[in-house]
Amino acid sequence: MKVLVALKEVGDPAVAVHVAAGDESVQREGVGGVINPFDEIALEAAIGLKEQGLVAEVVAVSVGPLVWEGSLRTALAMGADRAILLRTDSVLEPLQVAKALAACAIREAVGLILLGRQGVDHDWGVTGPMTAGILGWPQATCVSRFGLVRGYGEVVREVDGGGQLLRLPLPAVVSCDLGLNTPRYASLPNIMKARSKPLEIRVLPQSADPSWEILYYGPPVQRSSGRRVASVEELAEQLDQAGVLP
Amino acid sequence: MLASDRLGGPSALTARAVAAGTLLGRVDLLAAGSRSGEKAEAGRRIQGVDAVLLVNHSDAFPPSTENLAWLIQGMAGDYRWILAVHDAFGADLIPRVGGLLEISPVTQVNAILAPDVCTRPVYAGQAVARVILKKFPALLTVRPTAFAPAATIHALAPVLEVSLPAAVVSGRHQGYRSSPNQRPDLSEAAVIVAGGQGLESAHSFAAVEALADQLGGAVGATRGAVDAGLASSDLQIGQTGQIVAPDLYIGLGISGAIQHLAGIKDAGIIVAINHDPNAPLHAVADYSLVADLFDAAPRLGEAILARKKGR
Ligand SMILES: Cc1cc2nc3c(=O)[nH]c(=O)nc-3n(C[C@H](O)[C@H](O)[C@H](O)COP(=O)(O)OP(=O)(O)OC[C@H]3O[C@@H](n4cnc5c(N)ncnc54)[C@H](O)[C@@H]3O)c2cc1C
Repeated sequence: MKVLVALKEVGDPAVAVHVAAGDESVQREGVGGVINPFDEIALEAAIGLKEQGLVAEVVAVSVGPLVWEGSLRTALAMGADRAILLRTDSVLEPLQVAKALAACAIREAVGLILLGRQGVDHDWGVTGPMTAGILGWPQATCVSRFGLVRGYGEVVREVDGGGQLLRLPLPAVVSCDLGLNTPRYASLPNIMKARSKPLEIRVLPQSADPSWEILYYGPPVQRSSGRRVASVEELAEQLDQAGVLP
Repeated sequence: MLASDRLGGPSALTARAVAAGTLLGRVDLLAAGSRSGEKAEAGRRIQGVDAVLLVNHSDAFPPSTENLAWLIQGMAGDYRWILAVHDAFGADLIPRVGGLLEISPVTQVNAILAPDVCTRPVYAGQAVARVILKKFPALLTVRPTAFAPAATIHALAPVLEVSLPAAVVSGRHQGYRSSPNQRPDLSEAAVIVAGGQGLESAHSFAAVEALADQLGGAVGATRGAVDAGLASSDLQIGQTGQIVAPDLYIGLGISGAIQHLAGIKDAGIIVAINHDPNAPLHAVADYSLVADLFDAAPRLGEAILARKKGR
C-alpha cells in the first residue's frame, strides 16, 4: 500500500507577527518557512509505518509555490520515498487544496492519506476532512494513536473530555495531532541521499469561484495591562474584591 | 445548527452556538450522533431554537461523521448557514460537509458582524481576519468562548424526526475513553488553574491540582508541561489545545508564549505567578505576582479559604 502525506510550509511560528489595522495580507517576508509542525507528525507516522513493513511507499505532496520545494526535500531527507509539488502561485482556499490532494490520491492509487490536523498559520483545520468528503473515504481527525491492523486503521481521536476509538476501513484520511509521535531529524547522510530522490513538479490549473474572501486583517483586541501585586495576601484581596472567588 | 457533542452525549456548548446562530436567522437545531434523543430534549429548551430536527440512528444508519455529513449535504439546500461549535464533533463534521458541497468552511468564528461578514483569529491570535462569505449555504464553526450561552426557557420547541438517506462507508465507532479527570471541563469552568514547565522541578502537577481543588476549578496546562509529561494532552490550553474563557485564570510557572496566550485571551481575569519578572504572561495579566510558585500557590489557597470563611 502507498501512503500520501500532505504537507504545507508555514512561516516559523517562533517569529512574532505584527499587523496594523486594515492590512490586506499578513506580511511574513523574510520569515523562514518550516514544515507545518502537524504535517511533520503525519510524515513521521508514515515513515514509521514503512519501517514496520506495513506500507510500501511514502509519497509527500505539497500544494503551493515553488519555494516549498525546500520543505519537500526535507521530507525526502526524513524518509519519504518520492515528492510531488503541485505548483501554484496563488493563495488557495482549502477547497482547492483538498481537491488537488484528492485528485493526486486517486492518480497515485494510495490507500491512506496522512496530514496535520491544522496549519499553524491560518488554523483552518479543514483540509483533511474536506479531502475525505471529496473522495467519499472514511476519516479520522485529531488522531493521537494510529495503527494498521488487518487492513483497518485503528485510531484514537482526541475529543473534548477524552478519546474516541475508531476503526477505519481503508482507503481513509487521517489528520494527526501532537501526541502521535515526535518527528525525527534528518541526518546528514540522509540529507545527501535526498538530493537524488525523485521530486516531481506539476503546475496546478488556476481556479476561481471562492467560498469567501478575506477583506482584511487587523490586530487582535488588546487586553489592558494589569498591575503587579506585592504579596499573596494582596492578590487574594484583589481577587475577592473582583468577585471571582467561589 | 448542529447540536454539540461531548463524549457521545449532550454538551452545554450548544447554547453558545445557538446564540451565534440567532445573530443570523431562525435556528433549526439538528440533534444527531449518539444519544441524539437527549440532545434533542436539551436543545428544545434553548431560547432561539425554532425547531429540533432529530436523527434517530439505527443499525441501518449508525452515528458517524461520514453518515451525518451525507445527511447534512442532502438538507443543505434549505439553509443559508450551517453552523456548529468548533469542538471535536463540529470541527470534524462541518469540513466534510464542505468537501461534499464544494464550499470551504470558515472555522473558529469569534464574531458575526453582518449576515455575510464574520471574523476569526489567525496566526495564533496575533491577527484577526475579517471574512466576507461568498458561497451559500455558508459553513461556519464558532468558538464557544466568544458567545455567551442562550438562555434556557420553559417553552419547548417542536421535535421533528428527520428522514434518513442510505448509510455510507464509515469508520466504526469502538467507544470512548473518558479521561480520569474528575474536575470541571476546561470549556465550561469558571476557574482554571494552569501549570507550565515551572512545575517540572517538582516532577508533579500537585501544586496546580491542589489550588484548582481549593477553588473548585479545572486544571489546565501548557504544551511545555504536556511535553514534559506533567499533564495529559487533553488539558493543554492554547492555539493547538483548548480555547478557554473562565472568569478567573491563574497561571503557575508559565512563561506566556504566543501560542499559549492564544487560548486564554477571552478569560475574565488573568493572574500570573512566575518568579521571572520578564515572563510575557506578566505583561498580559490583570494581576501579576513575581514569586516562587511552590511558595505562593499553597499560601494563595489558604488566603482564599480564609477569606471564604470570613465572609
Ligand atoms: C506551532 C506551535 C503550537 C503551539 N501550541 C501551543 C499551545 O496550544 N499551548 C501552549 O501552551 N503552548 C504551545 N506551543 C508551545 C509554546 O510556544 C511554548 O513553548 C510553551 O507554551 C511554553 O510552556 P511553558 O510556559 O510551560 O514553559 P516555559 O516557557 O519553559 O516557561 C516556564 C516558566 O516557568 C517559570 N518558572 C520556573 N520555575 C518557577 C518557579 N519555581 N516559580 C515560578 N515560576 C517558575 C519560568 O520563569 C518560566 O517563565 C506551541 C508551539 C508551536 C511552535
